Amino acid sequence: MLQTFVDGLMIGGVYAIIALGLTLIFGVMRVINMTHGEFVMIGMFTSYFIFKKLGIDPFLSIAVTTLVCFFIGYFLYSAFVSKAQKAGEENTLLLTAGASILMVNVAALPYFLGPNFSRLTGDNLYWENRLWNVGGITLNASLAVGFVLTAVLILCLSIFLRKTDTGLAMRAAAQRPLAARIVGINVPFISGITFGLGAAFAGIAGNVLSTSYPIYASIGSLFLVKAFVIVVLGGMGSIPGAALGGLVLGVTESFGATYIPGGTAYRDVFGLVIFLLVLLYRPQGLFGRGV
Amino acid sequence: MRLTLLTTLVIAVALAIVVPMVADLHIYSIVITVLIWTMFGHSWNLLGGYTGQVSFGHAMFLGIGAYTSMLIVNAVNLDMAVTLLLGGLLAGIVLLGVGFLIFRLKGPYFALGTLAFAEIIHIVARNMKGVTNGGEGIMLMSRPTFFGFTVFTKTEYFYVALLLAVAVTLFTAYLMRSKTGYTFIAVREDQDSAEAMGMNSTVVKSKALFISAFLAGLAGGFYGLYNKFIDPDMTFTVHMSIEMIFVTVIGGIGTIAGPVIGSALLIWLQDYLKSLEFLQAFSSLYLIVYGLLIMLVIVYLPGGLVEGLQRIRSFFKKEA
Repeated sequence: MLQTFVDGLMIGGVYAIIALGLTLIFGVMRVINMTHGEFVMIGMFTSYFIFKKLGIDPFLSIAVTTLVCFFIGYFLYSAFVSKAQKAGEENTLLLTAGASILMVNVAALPYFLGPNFSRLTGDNLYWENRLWNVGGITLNASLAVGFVLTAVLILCLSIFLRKTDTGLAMRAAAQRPLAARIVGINVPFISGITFGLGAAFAGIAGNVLSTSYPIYASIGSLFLVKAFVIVVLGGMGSIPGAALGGLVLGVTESFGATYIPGGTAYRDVFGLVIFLLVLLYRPQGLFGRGV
Repeated sequence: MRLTLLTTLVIAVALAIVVPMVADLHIYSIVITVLIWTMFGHSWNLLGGYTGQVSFGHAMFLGIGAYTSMLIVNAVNLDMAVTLLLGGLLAGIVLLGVGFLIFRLKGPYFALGTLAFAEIIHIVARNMKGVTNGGEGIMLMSRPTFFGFTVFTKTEYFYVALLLAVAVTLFTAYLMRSKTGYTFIAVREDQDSAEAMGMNSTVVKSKALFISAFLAGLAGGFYGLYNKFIDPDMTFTVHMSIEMIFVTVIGGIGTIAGPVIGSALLIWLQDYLKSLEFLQAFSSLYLIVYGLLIMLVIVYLPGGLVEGLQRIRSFFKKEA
């Protein structure tokens, strides 16, 4: 019982990082980012190749992932998404859907993994199948570190959004883009930074997951749907909502898979059912300010 | 209306005469695929383009239609004309129930809601082995008939597809000229004003959803029978829903010609890119180009190709 709960919390922590990025992007520029899952994939790939080629620990290569995802995200926004924004929400949705096809297939080129599955393994890899035993409960080591990392990231993000000029500009752009422009905030630039930051969050989650999930080019869609669920659960654009929503989804999946007979096959349905219920009865999300 | 009718019939007759003269199996399969996607495009366009409810879950209508038709044909081999209608009706009825819940959502929330519904049905279809045979899929076991004619070769499938696509196109064109069609557009343009004029927006949207689901179910049924095999991953996935949107948006959202032009172009483009020598080195290379082209069209031609054509026409008019 407690074990199931903790398992759920651990994976929920990683879900929360992914959702944090998505909610940030949605909150500031009202773009539903269909490439978000692909940034998780990029994170996994980065940590995989850095470990394979240089033997650097996946948790240390987070620095590289962050930079890579940030710049790809920034480029994607300023070169494409910002231009499609005028034509409305559907167009940015479709644009990112097209970009997602592009990114999945670039990752499936033979320079990387090709269409194959791979796993991050190695003799000197500390995290492989490593379990920590804390008071009778076993923890997946990499997910546990990921959980702590989530907490730190959320803390950093909220300080960043409240105390720094860039963070304040982001919040201004989210609330009133036009007014933000009038007081001299470079909204397109801020939006680009936000997009990059959101992408970087997804990439960090990819690093955390790389030691416990199979790695392949199209894995992103798995996490994309989950991130949608969480973001709607917590209220679109709400940061505490995304964090809590991630934990709720992780725990629900874990309990559903353990306690409902035949539940493993339907594991992903539980989250979606909650998603629909929330959409129908509280569309502004559990923490949303109302849309 | 008369222009649409005339153009559609001329194109259809031209296709019916020209294609069998020049076609080999490869061309047949491209043309049939284009016709099928035209139908899907019209279906999505009705709800997403004309009524303004962008759905990311149209694959569920497609899948329900495909499974219904496949199961009926395998079990009792009813005439295809009846089977496809039943598939469409079932998709429509099931989704009317869904729509009742889901129309409480608006804008991007609606899109995500439909996405979630489609994913749920996808997972259920994969696990309900008794009905759908799970991931192993269902093979077509018997030779289907259409109004008494056996449909088995590509030529026969081509004529049926042409007939269906023409029927769907004309039906959509007719519908959008009727009072019902105008209410769809009214709800898209401004839901509150439409309500103020005495329209019940939920009823209007439900009508659009029903017809849209019906068309997708019908086309999905044909898609399944034409492929002679279906499994959950080729019917219920988000990928199929997104492809329907691409076809419509690239052609021109909210126009009759849009889905026709869009599917003709995209299917041809996919095939062309696949056949290019230097892209064949790796299987995923053509999809990279495809994704990039879609991005460029959306950025530089947000109204789709129909808008592009109109721009060219108005450019020449100015010259003259």
